[in-house]
Amino acid sequence: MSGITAEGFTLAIGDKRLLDGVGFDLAPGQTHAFVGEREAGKTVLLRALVGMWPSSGKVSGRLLVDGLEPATVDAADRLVMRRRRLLFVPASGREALNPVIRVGRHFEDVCSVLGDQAKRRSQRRAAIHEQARSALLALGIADPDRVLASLPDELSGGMRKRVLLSFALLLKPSVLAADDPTGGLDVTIQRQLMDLLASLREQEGFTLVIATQDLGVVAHYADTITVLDRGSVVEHTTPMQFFSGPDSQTGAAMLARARV
Amino acid sequence: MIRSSIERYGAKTVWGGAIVGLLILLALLAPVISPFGSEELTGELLAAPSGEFPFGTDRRGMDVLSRTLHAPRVDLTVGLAATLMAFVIGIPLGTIAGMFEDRGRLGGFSAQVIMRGMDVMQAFPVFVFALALVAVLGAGPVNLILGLAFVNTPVFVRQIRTGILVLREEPFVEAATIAGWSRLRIAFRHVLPNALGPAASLVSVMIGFSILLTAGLSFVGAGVRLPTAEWGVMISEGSNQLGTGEWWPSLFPGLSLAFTIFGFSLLGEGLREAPSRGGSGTLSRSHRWAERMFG
Repeated sequence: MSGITAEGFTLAIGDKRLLDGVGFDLAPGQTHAFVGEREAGKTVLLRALVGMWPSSGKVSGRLLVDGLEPATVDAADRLVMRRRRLLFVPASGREALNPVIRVGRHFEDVCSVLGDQAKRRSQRRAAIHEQARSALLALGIADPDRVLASLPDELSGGMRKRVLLSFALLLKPSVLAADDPTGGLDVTIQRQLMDLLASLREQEGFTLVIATQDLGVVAHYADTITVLDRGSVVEHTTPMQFFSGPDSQTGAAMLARARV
Repeated sequence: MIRSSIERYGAKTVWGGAIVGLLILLALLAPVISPFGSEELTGELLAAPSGEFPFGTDRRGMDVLSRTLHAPRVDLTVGLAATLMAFVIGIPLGTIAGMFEDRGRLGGFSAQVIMRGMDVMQAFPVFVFALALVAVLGAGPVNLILGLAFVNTPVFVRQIRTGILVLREEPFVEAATIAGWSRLRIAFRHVLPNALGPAASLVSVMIGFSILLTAGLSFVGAGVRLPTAEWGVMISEGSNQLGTGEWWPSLFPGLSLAFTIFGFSLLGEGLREAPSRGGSGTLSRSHRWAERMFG
């Protein structure tokens, strides 16, 4: 099953526990939100799903993503996991794309992990660009050819996010983890992007996990909410319950601030 | 036309580029435009500058103007070749030193070997080191190039390594790592291209520096030898007569040398500043990073 399960998952660097006994059960095919203040461990948790933590980090407990345990998988499975099962979209689209490589080449790189491609470089390229074009069109980009020929810095923030998300259409992951998907974008774009993500999720059937501080996003799109505070899960609930009265102090404080 | 290119590329780049361009042109055209051959004896010894010999003649009776015009054929070639060779050697070494410093035993060891090697090379004064190298290899243009390339390499290694150390923390590098690409592929495909800009703008300055070293080595007799036309040799030859009032055999090659180095430095400076002019290319992108990082 392609859900995500955590039981007493702890990630420590030295004496500092970045994640402390985290436990939850996220059903497949839904939208799950990690919320919390700064430094609550949202991004760390999201990265842990992909198995990205510093080599000095010590892991205990269990974390099961799509049937695989990132802490213990062997190298081959990890590659499969990172390339095919899980797509991580970092907080800043700007820095996630190499500034000297054109967007079209990024697509070629992304698709080169898929295998079964034409031998000739030119054919392969044409095929990938064709796929990329339709993916970008599906994400509401009107002139995909211009985007493919652009350098990442020549695109707007929202555009770059779309490019990153369009990778999901090509890679068809079973889990998409988006770190702060609405950060740094203006409100209308935020809305468009989240609608897009939601419809993508419906269409492709992947599990969507987002880390955010934006309770508005959570209210509209999430199926479950996991409130984090200093590396621990303090509340795991549904938006309905959360917005009618959170159990945890952290949740209550966040909600009070959002209402101001 | 000049005004619009100055606006686009900056005055330093345009004027530096013009000087360098002029030098290359002169070097190419020297055999055509020189009144005499570069090693041709005119029979007039130490003639003062005049209509026939605008820069005078030296004590062997060779025309100073013709020799001054022919000299960049040697100086520019040596300077360019030595710098480019150092650049090409410096790229992989600097990349490995930067990317593999903290990567396991083999990686860390290679990085240490490279950087400590560079420390040793730079522990000697450049001129003395180059002098010793040429002395061991034997004088002559080819050995001169090899020697200069050797002493210039650490500069590029360090420049590239520094760039890489900053860049390898960029999220796109992490993204590539997550995607499971090998460290080597990430180093040369994702990180290095972003670090090349600043190193490339250093090339021009280093060419000027290499030309100065060439002339210096030739001046003390360790580089190019007489009768080859080369500025350092000419200055050295003429310096004997400075005391007796025949200034022209040294002055003109000296001025040309100064002018050349000025041109290359100006061009290098211009290229370094070019990013802030918002043009396109690698240079401007590395600048935009700086902007992002420092506000």
